[in-house]
Amino acid sequence: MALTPHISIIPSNNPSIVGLLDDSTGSDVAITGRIIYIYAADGSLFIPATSWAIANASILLSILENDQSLSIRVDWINVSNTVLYTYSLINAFVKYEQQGIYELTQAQTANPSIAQDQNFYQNKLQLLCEVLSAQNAIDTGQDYFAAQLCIARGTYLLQNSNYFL
Amino acid sequence: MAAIKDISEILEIARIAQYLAFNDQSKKLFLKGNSNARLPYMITCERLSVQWQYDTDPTDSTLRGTANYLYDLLGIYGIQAEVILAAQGGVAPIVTGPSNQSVTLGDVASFTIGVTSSLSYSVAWYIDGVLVPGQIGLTYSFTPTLDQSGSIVSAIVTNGAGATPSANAMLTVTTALLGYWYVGPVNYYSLLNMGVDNITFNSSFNIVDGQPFQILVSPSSLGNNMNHVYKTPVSQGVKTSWLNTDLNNGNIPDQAFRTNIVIGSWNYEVSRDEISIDANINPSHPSWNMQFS
Repeated sequence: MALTPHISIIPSNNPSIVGLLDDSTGSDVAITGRIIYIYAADGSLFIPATSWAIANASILLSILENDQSLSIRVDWINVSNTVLYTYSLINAFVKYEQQGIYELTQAQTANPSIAQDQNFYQNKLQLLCEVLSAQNAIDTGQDYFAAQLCIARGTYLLQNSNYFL
Repeated sequence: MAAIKDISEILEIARIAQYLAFNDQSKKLFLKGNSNARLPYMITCERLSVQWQYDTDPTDSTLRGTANYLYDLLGIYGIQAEVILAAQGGVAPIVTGPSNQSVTLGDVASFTIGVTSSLSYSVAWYIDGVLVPGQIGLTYSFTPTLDQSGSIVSAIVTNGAGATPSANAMLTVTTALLGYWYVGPVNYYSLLNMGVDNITFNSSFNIVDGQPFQILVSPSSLGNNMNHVYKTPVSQGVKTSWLNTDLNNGNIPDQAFRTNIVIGSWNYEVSRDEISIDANINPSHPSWNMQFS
């Protein structure tokens, strides 16, 4: 019975992690391994091609220093390294920005009046908008390039604290 | 001020309040005293931030503070949202517990759950998935049998919005450790030395695993000029010292007890001869308490 390939993203509490789960159905005895290719929005390889042992149903890659919109391709190969099956997906990894937004909420909890600051809240809302837009670009438009633009703007806000002072 | 609400409940209220606030704004309707045009966006923003953190780690200790901040932000929209949720049947109960229980055979095992529910609710208890009739409270207490050790005890709490199962708690039943005491005219040393225990013991006493145990001979005249045997599980080891302020302290004296005898899984300490527990030594002590350790 042939393999019906499928890969899912594993949600992680750690923003640096890209977690993949092989939830394919069926089987193929010729499969001896998997290769992971991860591409950034500009089309370049984000990390070198990575082997994923067939015995492991999941793999966690600690590769993100910032949020990223990534295209991920997994190839199932045989003993001759011939690709038998392939599966691709795109995902906006935005945990850093989500955590940043939460930290701003914590600051408001400690000092509620800070939310009245025009600078603070306008920029917080823009950061939120970028995160939601990145996710929407993927979910609705399958456009991981547009998602990366949103992430880049959000990351810029996050990394410049003066926008929230 | 509202009672402390579960974080998931606050998030559900905020989800409704968000739409109420935007709806008001779209109609240019601002509830009196709440004309902050930015409020719907703030509710959205704070709700999402708390939701994301809750999804990441629901046990995060900062969530209580931020969720309360969110709830206070909702203002009159939060009150409206709660009314809507109540009319819709609210949210399913939040259930905590029960915890695993370990009891000694003969003791009562009690399992307790905590319930958060804005609606009235009912409770049903189960052992190994089988309903326990008549048990409808937050605590289920019963005296288990030994063969119930390893059973899973759980509850289901139901309100108008749904049913929530509790955690599964394991019941462990252990047998009590007992020792036995003989005091009487018969000297059983020879028989015990041959591996024969046909003693009719006077009484038993509870043993706490690994701890010194006490034997109360009351009245002490019962033990006066009598032979003594005490029988304990080998798991408790050989006791080497005893304490009795009226008679002797320190190591079990040779003249009082012989070397212990082991038969099967039992230790026996046998008095060499009749022990003189003379009430006249201290007439003010009507009973004689020995502690072996």
